[in-house]
Amino acid sequence: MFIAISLMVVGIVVGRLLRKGIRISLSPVIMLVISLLLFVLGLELGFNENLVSQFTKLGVSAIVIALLSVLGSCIAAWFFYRMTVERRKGNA
Amino acid sequence: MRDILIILGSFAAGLLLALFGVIPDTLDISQISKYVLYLLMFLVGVNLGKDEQTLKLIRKQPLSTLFLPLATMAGTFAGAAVAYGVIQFLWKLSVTPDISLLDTLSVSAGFGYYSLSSILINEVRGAELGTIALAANIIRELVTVAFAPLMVKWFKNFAPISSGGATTADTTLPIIQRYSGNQYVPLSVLHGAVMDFSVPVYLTLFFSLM
Repeated sequence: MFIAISLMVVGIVVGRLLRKGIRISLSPVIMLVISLLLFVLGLELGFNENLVSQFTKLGVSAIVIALLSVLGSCIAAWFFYRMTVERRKGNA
Repeated sequence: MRDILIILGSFAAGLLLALFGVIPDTLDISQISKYVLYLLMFLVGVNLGKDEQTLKLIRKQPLSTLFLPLATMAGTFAGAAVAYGVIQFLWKLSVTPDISLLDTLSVSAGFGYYSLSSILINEVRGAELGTIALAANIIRELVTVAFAPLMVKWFKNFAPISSGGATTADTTLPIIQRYSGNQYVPLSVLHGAVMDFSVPVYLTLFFSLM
């Protein structure tokens, strides 16, 4: 993982240095690589019969994590709004 | 939306080809995919680095707006901690698998960046958690798009931005512009860029604690 994140930082520096040189958008290339890796994730799941039988269980835990993360974010954003925007309004 | 279909299509294609035995389970893909992953991380970095408009936008923002990503992170992790308790309860009823607190936090640290987070989590924690991460983070993006108006009504204008997590510089930006307001577009882009960068950082941190 440290290699992966270091490569991202190297990429940022390279992108910054070559920003005038890179005329094409990298997004389609990135999308292709991502699709390839998600194809592999699908393969690995498919090879593992134990996991396939647990598909619903994986889905339920995903829904629980997603919904509570969203709710937590919304509450935090509400506090942030009250501390910044509403306080400014109050002072004005 | 188109991206989600491409991603889900690739994932489903791999799943089906493996299930029906079209591709035999003899190939050691994990070695190859590790180097493809390194290539991906480099490309994502280059894309971030060459994006001058975002950099200009970020420089113009007041310092206090940098705290919104911090609020998003805190809210997400607090929510994920509660989710861990719920999952442990559901696990006793055998409705969910047994997932550790750090694994739950890792899934939530995708912040809606479903492609990168599921790939990284799959690489280190395996296909089970990788699949949960893919589903959870796609759901996060879809819920943000679907409930943005209600979020603004109940939790004020920053709520869709926090909820959108790492997607607020691109896929959920139009919906945020519509419901939070035009004046929050730069904040949304800044938020998305900071959150994007934080995904691999948090994942590396959580993996190192395991």
